[in-house]
Amino acid sequence: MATALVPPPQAAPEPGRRWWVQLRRDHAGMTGLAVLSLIVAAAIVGPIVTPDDQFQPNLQQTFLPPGGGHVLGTDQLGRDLLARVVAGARASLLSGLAALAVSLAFGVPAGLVAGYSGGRWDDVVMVAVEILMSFPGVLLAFLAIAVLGPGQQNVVLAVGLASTPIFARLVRGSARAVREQEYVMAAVALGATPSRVAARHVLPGCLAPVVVIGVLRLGTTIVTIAGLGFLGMGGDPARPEWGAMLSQGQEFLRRAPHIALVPGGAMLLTVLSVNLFGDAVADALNPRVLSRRAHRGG
Amino acid sequence: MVEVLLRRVLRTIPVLLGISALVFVSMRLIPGDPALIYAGDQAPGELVAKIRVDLGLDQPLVSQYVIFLRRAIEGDLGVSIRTGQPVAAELMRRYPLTLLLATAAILFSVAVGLPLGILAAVNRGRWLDKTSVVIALVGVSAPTFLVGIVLQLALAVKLGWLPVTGSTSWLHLVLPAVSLGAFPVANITRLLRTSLLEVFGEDFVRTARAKGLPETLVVVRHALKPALIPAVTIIGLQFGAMLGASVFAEAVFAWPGVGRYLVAAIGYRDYPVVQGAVLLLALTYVVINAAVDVTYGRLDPRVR
Repeated sequence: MATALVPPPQAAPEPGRRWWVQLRRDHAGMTGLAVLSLIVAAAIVGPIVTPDDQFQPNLQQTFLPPGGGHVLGTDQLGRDLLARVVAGARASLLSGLAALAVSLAFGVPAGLVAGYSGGRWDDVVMVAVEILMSFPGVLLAFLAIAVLGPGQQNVVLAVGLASTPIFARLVRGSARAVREQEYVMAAVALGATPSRVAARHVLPGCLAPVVVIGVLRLGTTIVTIAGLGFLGMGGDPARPEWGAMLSQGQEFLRRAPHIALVPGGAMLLTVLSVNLFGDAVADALNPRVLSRRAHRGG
Repeated sequence: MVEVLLRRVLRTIPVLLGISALVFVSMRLIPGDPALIYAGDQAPGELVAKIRVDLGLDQPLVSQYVIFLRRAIEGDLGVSIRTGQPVAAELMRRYPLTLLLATAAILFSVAVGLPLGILAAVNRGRWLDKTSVVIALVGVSAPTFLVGIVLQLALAVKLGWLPVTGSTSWLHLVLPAVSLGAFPVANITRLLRTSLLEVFGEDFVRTARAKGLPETLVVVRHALKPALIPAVTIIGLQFGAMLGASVFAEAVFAWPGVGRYLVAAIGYRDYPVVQGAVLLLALTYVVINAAVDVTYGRLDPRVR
């Protein structure tokens, strides 16, 4: 073991780090991140530590107001609202991420191939994108639900499909620009196959805007999923899902408004913190993004 | 001008064909034989066969689409599976209510969003600006159905100032329109503030200030018009987007528009209604967006 452990030289922050330095200076964004981290922690830990009986209907304890044995009160069936809203946080975040994953899984390859190879495939993708984007996104999701049938998985799939064209168009635009870069031409000149060039050389150059738009879309995605749940398209109404909880709570606004306000407040807090964080990420990664391109969810 | 208009109208045609094809194909993707769904499970075989011919289901898919398209253009969208009523007539009964709701919502959002955006820009950095930024952030984050329920709880259930649900008077329009308009208020405020602040940096604004015009006149006479151009685009796009979002306001306040009809139809798997309602809303959306483009061209001398 003669080799000395030379400490790495302390260089200036590499370009990849700079955005993180800037992000840390954004107070609103960091507040959003802090709140979001708390929500994520609760969503992970909460359902593990909650005793099962909190989710069971208990007709002796219906409509209890917040405070006392149940911190956030109980609902119309006597289920603990804190337990349900925390379980709902897990469902919402996971569904939102899953829907984004669906959009990326379809949108990124379609946009990459269209932008890199051009030609007929590009025309096909762009016509499809044009048609899909001429719908309000929610309508597209409705259409998908009508075909797939109700249920939470189908809601996730529908919402993911509805925002696929956004990512396809985004990646296509970047791929067309990256294609002209010298390092891509060099890879082509060295004899790399088109699929290798697209995946190894073009794709990485297209990812920054995808991350920005992905983070910005997460809030909209969560809201849209909750909206479809609110409209009763999420299947099993007993499942703790914020949209369905809100819809049930609406029936008891006079008697026990907290049944609606608890999931509603949780949803607002989550989406606010996601949006604050998303704005900050967008600013840090791309200072030219002046304002959030807000898209309507529900 | 006429040429611009004509070209824009022509450009909507392939999009509309694409939308109709997508809706048509989606409905065919639904598992199950449409003729059997129409006729009901217990229907005799001859009836199912007759319906199949009536609906043109015995023909190749492309001819089916052409038939569907021709009938749709003639205003025939088939009959509802659940009620047996003609879909087009049912839609036309509800369509004015959805348009009324969306129009009221956009008027509300313009009436609140424009002054708020101007005040925020003029008072940049002061409390009014900061408040408007917070309002805009919450407005962009809160979904229509949540805003709707909170307003319903506060103003209808608790205070009793406005009706809880329904559509029998003008007062019934207030809460759905305000909850639908909350999102565009936030959007318009943010956008107008940003674009006004940009215009304030232009030379002609400095000239106007230098010649001693009162600040109000500088804003109203010089800065506002160029700053409004992007705002008009957003207002138009938001108006279109409301056709999707109105579904949620209609659900919260039991407003009997197209959206509520569509959601119920999805629940009952009443495909002709789903098909007709989606087509109608998408068509309106495309037409509004085309109108926005044309208006934009008239407002912005660079495009004209």
